[in-house]
Amino acid sequence: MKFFKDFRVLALILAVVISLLAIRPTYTEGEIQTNLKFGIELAGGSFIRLALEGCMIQMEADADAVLLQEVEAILQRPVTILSATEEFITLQSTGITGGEQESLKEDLGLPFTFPDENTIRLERSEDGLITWFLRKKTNAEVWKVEYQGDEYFEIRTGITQEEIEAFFGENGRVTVYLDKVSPQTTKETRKIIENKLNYLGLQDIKVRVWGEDYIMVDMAGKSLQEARDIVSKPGKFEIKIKMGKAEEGEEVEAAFVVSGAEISRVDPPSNPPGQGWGVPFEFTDNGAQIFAEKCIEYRAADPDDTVRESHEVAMYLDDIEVFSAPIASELAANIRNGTYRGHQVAITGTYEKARELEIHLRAGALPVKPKIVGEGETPPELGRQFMRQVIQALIGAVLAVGVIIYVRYRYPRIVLPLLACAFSETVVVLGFAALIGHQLDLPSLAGVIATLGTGVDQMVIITDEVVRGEVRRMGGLLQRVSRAFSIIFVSAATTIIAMTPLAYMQLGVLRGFAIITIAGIFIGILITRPAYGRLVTYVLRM
Amino acid sequence: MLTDWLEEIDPTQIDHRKMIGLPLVVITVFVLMVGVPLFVPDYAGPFELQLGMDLQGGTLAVIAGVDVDPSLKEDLETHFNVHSIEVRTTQVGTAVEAPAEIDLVDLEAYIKGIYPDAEISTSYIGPTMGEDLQRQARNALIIAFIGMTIVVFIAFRSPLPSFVVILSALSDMAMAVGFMVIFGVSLELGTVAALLMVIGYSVDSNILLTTKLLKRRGTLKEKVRGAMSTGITMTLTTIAAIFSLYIISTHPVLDAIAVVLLFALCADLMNTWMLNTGILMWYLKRRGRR
Repeated sequence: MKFFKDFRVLALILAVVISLLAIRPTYTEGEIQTNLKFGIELAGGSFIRLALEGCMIQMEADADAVLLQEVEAILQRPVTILSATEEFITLQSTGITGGEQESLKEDLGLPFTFPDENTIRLERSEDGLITWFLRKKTNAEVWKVEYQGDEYFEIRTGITQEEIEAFFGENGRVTVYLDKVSPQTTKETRKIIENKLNYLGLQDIKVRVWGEDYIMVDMAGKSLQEARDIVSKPGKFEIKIKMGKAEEGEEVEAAFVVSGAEISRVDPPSNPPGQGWGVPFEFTDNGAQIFAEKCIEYRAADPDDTVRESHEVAMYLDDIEVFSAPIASELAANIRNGTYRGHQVAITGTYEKARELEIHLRAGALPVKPKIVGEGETPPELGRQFMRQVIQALIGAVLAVGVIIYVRYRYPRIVLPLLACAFSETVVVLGFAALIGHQLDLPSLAGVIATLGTGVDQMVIITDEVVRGEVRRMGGLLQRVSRAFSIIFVSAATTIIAMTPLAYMQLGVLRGFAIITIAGIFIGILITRPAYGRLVTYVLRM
Repeated sequence: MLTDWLEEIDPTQIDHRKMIGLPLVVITVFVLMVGVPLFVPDYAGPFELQLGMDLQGGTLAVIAGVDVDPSLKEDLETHFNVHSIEVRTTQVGTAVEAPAEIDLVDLEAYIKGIYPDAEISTSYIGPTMGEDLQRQARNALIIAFIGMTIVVFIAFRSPLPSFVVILSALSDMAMAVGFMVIFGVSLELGTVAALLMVIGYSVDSNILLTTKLLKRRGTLKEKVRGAMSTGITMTLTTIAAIFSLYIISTHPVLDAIAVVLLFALCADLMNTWMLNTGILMWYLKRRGRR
């Protein structure tokens, strides 16, 4: 048993031991439990693939002409452009009344100024105006994003190129239309879905961005109906007022004020001077009114600081508190004298906290509407059955290879090390998958089979080089092993290079396959093959 | 056994025109069969490669664990008011293919209503995602192939041997696809993975052949015999392993992978040990004469 002292053989044994520790198979209630993560098609459960409705466009538009049209539509009389510089545009009309000034500002939502009754001035940029116009027409969030080095307007709603061009009429046309949202938006949406799942206590559900454009949600052990509900139903967001200060570990009663449906807008975190980070958000008119009434009723807007501070305004997502703070004194004053308009900033202190709260506030509604582009369900029993078959098939494959090798060489002493190495290699590949937390989907299992196949092929090459002829000197045999390696390296390199682009490809459908195959080949040429080369020479000299 | 057989027939004595010609004829037939429907617009004849549900989009429910009455097709069509529902029997159970507009949960609930004990697995792929996956799968095959070509050229630094390796990988894949067309195995993500594995296996046996014939010393007869006995053993072990996978598994995707690999490995036996061996022997004899 001298070969057990060889470091190549020891390395293989060590790798197998580490892999077994990583896989950690245990046997309970007639089922083998492991650390390996399996895809939905094997573990049982449901999957949902979401695409996000929205588009990115580039356009050529005469933004000032668009503005002119809108202003004319409100004033109901001709308006002309008096002057237009980089920053300002001045429009001329006749006798604009105070009421008309108000409705221009209100209806168009632009900060006009009126130097005299015939002149309208506006500080604007072309992109700003296009964004404003798209927002107004689509009633959706629109902003500028950068995608692959170019700037686009992202419209967060499902809309066609023709529909957009119809808004502009003669004043603009879409030059580039991409029927998808930006990667930033996809990531943001993913984060929000994941957060929602975390708050539902479903941490082990994987939400991943798939390619740039899809979000995939895999839910082990959930039916498709449950999965759909979890993904598509917005979280229950509520604002309440607490009745008194909470003692250590105690829950205080809180009165319901408004639901998330009354929040009309959430802005990215901002940092008002002297207050720390916070999330600005706005209630609908109705929401603002209810909020103001309830704050007065429950004394959250009380002039007395101590009273107010013991009636904190708290936010809950699916009944879990995500924010709680008393109302600031100026805001309380506004609420009391009726000048509160629904705009508010929830001060959290740090940026991270603000970002988290923003996501919670948005959990009531995802930034873009997801649409299900793929879904499916495998009953757990069927998944278990497939899994058993995969294990049986692997064992069967190893045995079948053993039979062929025995028939070919008629030499039982070769069969054993070859099978041991083939089997160890499979174990080490699975151990690797367990270590990096790779989810074994079907393509990955195909990769495990591919690895087993190439592994055996390469060991046959080694065996044939070594067996031929009658040289029984150790040196001669080892030289032959190294000759076999020159062939093995070329074929390993070929497969690795062919698979690497797959591992990096966007939509990673076959990523699992590529990763497992590449890992398998590396494990093969670095660990298993050298050990086999030694084992077979020792065995032949016995 | 294999060595005895190789002792009896001496590959070096076979006319290499026959060794090259026969596989070339077979490959040409396969390439035409696969290629014509791909390049003729509006082709509507037989021998068309079918796309699997995951690449084409659609709704699929597989009912396992119960015997399904063929009348299910009519029941479903009346219930959902459509005409294009397909019901097929497969190894795992009864597969119901429905148009994309039928809701997956409704479909499952309806079938559960008739067969309460059934294990039903369902999946739906939207048409746009199907197209996206198709594009990805095509890119995957092309990139893998180009990568393989580059490494082979670097490894051999000589046009003919590299060409031989690439030719064989290409013909293995073409023939595998041809068999898929004949036997109605559809192209889906699983079979794309199988075609990628074909590249790997094909390159393995051909690199062995080329290296042994061109870089080793010895008589041509010895070298060809050595390469053949090793290479054929390799392919046979792989066939044995894949065959056991095919017999044991009832998973449709794993089965499809196994079938495609079996096709390709059989094609590889011909392409490597007749076509490529023929070409290389012809090349070595000519080089020897000069």
